[in-house]
Amino acid sequence: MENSSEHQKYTGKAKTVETLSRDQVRIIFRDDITAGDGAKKDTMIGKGELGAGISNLLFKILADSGIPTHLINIESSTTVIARKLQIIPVEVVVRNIAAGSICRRYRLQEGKDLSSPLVEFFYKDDELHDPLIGIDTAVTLGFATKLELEMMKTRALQVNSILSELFKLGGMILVDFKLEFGKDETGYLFLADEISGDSMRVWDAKTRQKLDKDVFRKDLGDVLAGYRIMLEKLNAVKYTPKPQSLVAKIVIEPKKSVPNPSGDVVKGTLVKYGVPGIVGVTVGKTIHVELNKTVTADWWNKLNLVSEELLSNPLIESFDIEVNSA
Amino acid sequence: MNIGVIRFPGTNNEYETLNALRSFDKVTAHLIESYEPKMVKKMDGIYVPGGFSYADCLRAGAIAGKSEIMVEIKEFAKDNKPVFGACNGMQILLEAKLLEGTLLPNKSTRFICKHQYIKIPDNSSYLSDLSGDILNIPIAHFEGNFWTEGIDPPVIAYYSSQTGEMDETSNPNGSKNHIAGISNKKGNIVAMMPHPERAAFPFSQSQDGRKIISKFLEATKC
Repeated sequence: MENSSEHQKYTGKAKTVETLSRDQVRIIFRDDITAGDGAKKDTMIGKGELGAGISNLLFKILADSGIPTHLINIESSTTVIARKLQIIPVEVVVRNIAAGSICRRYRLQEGKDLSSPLVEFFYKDDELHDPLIGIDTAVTLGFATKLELEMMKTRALQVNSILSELFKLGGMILVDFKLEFGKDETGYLFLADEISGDSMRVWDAKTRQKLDKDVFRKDLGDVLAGYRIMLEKLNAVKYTPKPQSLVAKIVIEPKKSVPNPSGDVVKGTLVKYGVPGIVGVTVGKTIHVELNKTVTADWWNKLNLVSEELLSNPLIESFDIEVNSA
Repeated sequence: MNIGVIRFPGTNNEYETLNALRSFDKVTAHLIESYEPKMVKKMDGIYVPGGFSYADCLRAGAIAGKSEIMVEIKEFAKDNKPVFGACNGMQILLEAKLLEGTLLPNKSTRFICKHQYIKIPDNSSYLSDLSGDILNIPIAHFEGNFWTEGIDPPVIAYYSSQTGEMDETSNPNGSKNHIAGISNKKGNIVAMMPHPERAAFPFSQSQDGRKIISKFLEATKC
């Protein structure tokens, strides 16, 4: 998004974000539609309202399922009040069926079923056309921490399982979608931006008719008609949100310089088993902490703190935290 | 004088400790439960006995070391009052960071339960009068393999032979430099893996533990 000359107002390709206070922004869904990183542009009356309608409906269901989102309040049919967040410059894409850039990248036929949901990260930069980015690259270049990326992946897969079911109930197929995340002052991650026809691919389950922005990208007809069908079908679904839980895996390893008597015993036994090439063995431990949807915003700061102060002994051990879906 | 013996869930040396303390003149020994932290400041000395607090989950002494009563004991020790920890008591004092260092599992990866000689070196703790003594005191532990890196806490006891030699055969658990016990710099917090309270009765194989307990009790008068 570009910083306009106006005070604390950011104008993106299809939305405008106004800073209201230290921790709140107003997001305005405009009638603009773009494709090809802004190469193709148009304005369509009612597009903002449809985008906001779909996004708000989905964000509400996700929040009720325990996914922390930026949404605070729906102000009008095209504006929402949201948390002010520092947006992570890495987007997450979840794909259930091959379509779009992955087809070009790997010479795939559009519509190929991916055996399990695929998570990809992209670096948010229009000039570079949002290039695919690996976890190691994103961490090394300081775009996000490893824990943040793992958390984003976990959350994205949870969002996928919730929305895939929802769209299925509405007679649609969730092909793929893009998510953005932002963090608050404590570092806690929230789902941000929007989830709408602009950021998803959704097909009619029977006819495979495209109901998303591909209609505009590929000049297939009236894109807003697709958005309208999508919203109507979603509104007709009776969906009961199920809380999603998380498991934090804390891996505690003895430091290299510290004697590890049980590792020495295991090493001796492995040698007896005839395992070749063994130089050293250390035995550590793993702790799984299951967290329910009521976890508060600072839970992972606390988790880091107890991992350092209680679960591990920093004099002799190091630890690493992974977060996954339960 | 009033001595507090701290009991955590899983402590199992509290009664021999209370009895050993009560066999000395003018001692009133109190059993203090870990959930009674306010009792600590009423005492003249604190003895943290051995056992398996909280079943040694995570690491020996780890959970007990983070308990509220340890905060009180830290405050108590600031006034130069004596604190003593034996076995799990030492593990707890280390985990509470009242002492510096770590106890790893024994080099043999076995629980060791036997009589052991220890040598008291020159030191500035309340055990300083015992410098040069070689004492026969039982040990019973799985995690007693003392280890530090980059820090040198004051040593108050080394594992040795009956005649004071320190070689591989007289080091029961692989402790770095044969260290059996340490103190803080001020010398009022002392801990060791051996159990003085188990060498304190006429029917015990050794009564050398009485020497240690008596120095701990004398320190309450300082």
